[in-house]
Amino acid sequence: MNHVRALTSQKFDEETGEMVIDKVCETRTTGFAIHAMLAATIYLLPLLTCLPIPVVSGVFLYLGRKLMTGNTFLKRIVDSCSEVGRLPQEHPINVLGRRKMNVFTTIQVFSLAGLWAFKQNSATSIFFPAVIGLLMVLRTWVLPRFFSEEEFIALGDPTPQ
Amino acid sequence: MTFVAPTGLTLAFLSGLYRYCTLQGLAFLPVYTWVGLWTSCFMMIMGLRGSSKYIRYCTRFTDEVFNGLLSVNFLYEACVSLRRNFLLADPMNLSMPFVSLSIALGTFWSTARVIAIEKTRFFTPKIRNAFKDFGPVAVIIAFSGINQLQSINKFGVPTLIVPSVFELASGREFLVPFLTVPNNIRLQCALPAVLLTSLFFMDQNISARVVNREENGLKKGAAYNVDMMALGLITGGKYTKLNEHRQHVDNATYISIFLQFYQYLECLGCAEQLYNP
Repeated sequence: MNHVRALTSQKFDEETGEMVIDKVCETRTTGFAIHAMLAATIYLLPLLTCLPIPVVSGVFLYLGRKLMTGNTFLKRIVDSCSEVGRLPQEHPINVLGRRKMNVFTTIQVFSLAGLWAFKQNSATSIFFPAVIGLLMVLRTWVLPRFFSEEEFIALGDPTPQ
Repeated sequence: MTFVAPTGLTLAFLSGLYRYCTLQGLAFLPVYTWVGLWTSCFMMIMGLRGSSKYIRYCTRFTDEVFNGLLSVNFLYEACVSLRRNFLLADPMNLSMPFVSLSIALGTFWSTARVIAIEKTRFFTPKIRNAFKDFGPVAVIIAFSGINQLQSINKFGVPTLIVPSVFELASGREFLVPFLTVPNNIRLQCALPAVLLTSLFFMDQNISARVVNREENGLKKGAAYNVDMMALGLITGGKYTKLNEHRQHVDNATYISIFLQFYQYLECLGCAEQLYNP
């Protein structure tokens, strides 16, 4: 988990580097340091035997919860049964209406379930990455038949040019 | 294996590959090495051709489903591991599962709280940032410490098992003997490599997008992969090292060589980004 976290901050560094070359140089040092230290953790491996598995589960719970923040798709699942007056003005429900918004959300839920099924089944999990590509196909060619561009914009998902 | 895999999704791919190898009676590691080599080759081609412009077709629709998947994956792993304690426990004595559950919820709650300190008005911004940066690790250490207490330790909460040498049996060469793979299999490895490339491509670019909602080049893509390969080799080194201490010096050399190679590729990536803004 630390590795993922380390990678994330490293990426963030580079992204905020705003294409300034000396910034990039600096990040290379960071990357090097991170990986050198990762290599050094060979010595700490025996310490891991003191780490209870439930603590790892707790960290996973936290990461899973944290990834949900800012995800409008998951938020729309909750919003599907919220009162319109209590939702913000710019909420897609005001453009699409509850029913159509729920259709869009349901399509996403099914995509997620499909991906999950592919991932869980060890016979198909090797093809799992290709299924993510299918989602792009679905969004680019299939969904525009049912939703207008205005509705996509309201959902925060404008069609790429 | 989890140490090699950057995300649970790569792990899913790997287990699929492993299963396939077992069915075909192939040695997993050499095949995996070839898949990695092909992948790195594809990633470099894609990086040089600036293919990441296609990631713009990956809109919020896909982003959020993908992110939801990552999130569900974490929650699922956590719940499965906690549930297993209940399933395996003696029905007359459920202390261990419940202690595990409280440790997990305690870790979850404390991590959330310690990070939320950043948003409070306590202390100074610097101290709050320190809480946010080092808090989660401190929480992990604290809960591991609590587990060592006499009063908690007697419940026998399971701890991590440091990977012992399961299939990288003792005496394995440090470098995976990837030349032993027959030629036609080497070519066939390109197929899963396409899948792995697309996974890395999306994983990389989607996280980059999530980080600052900006469609950037595949810059780190190529390096990301090498990073992955280097990490794989470091992990391989870990396994080897656990067994044979005398190999350690050699491993360190290899690791530094790979880190240099990794840096070199990141330089390439920077150059590519300059040409392809």
